[in-house]
Amino acid sequence: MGHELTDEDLLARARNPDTAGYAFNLLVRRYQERLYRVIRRMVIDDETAQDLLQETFVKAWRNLDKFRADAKLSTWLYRIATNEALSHLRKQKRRFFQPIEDVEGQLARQVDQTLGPDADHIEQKLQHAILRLPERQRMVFQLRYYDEMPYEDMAELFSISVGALKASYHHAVKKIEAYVTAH
Amino acid sequence: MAPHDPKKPFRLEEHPELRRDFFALPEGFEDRFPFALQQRLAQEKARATRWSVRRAVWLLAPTVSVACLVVAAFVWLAPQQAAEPTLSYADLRLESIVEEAATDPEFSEYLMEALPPDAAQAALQTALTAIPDTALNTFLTENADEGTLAEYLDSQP
Repeated sequence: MGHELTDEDLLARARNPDTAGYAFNLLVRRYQERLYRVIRRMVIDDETAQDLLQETFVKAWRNLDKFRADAKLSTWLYRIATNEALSHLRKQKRRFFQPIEDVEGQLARQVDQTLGPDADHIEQKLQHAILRLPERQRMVFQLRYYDEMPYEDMAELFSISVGALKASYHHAVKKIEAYVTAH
Repeated sequence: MAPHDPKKPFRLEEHPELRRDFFALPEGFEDRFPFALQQRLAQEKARATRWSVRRAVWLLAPTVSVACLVVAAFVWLAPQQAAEPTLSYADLRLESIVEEAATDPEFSEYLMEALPPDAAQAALQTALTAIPDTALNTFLTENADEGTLAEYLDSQP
């Protein structure tokens, strides 16, 4: 029955004290996998991704009343999730004054572990190339490439123009292709 | 997966198979995650309740403190206010003089002369209080008919 409800219905029920628990649970089940993947691709580590996902939903739950009805629920949730992931990465870099290369290297090692020894060579190189992109560009590339998110939604998500997003994605693809060709 | 020829430049669009998300979902994620989240939200709700109680205490504390001060002040002042009808030492002295005046017509005259206008009555009262009992008694009993009380008061340092 839950899948028949629109996001607007879910939101209205999640704001109603009588149905809040049930509706919020449905909302979580609807978005948990998508948001997990978005966060996981950014932070790589599974446990960290689950912690950040939990934080995302806790923040959503705390701020349900403040959510503006003119925005899309999905965009709002994606924004919280992407902010969580990006701020986690920034904190990681600030902690112990780690150079960016170290954080990237750490993420690359985690990618290799996740892929396993039998991983396809190109896939491994692709992931390494993605990790070398600046964080925001990496986020844009992944949302477009893996989730096929429309540029209009991304524009709302990042508060950037569609043109700038298209350019960012195009540059990301060029950088990735250059890296994979060179390695 | 289509092999990539290392001699050719790599083109992402030529490898649609790479588009798959290579991160597998953790086992049991679909059910375990909402359960863990529910527990976390329960903790958050408990924390929020504690915070609202704490905030209420913080907001009420000044009001309660002021109320306590008002009550304390009332409790402290009440006996003093109750004691007000009792005549002070100065009042008693003046009263005894007036009583004396009532029984002694001559002294009454002195007293009438000695009493200043209303505005100066407080000063007289203070002055009377300052006169040692013995000195005033001596004056009242022995020199009542020799000069006025005002003269006597003027002679006092």
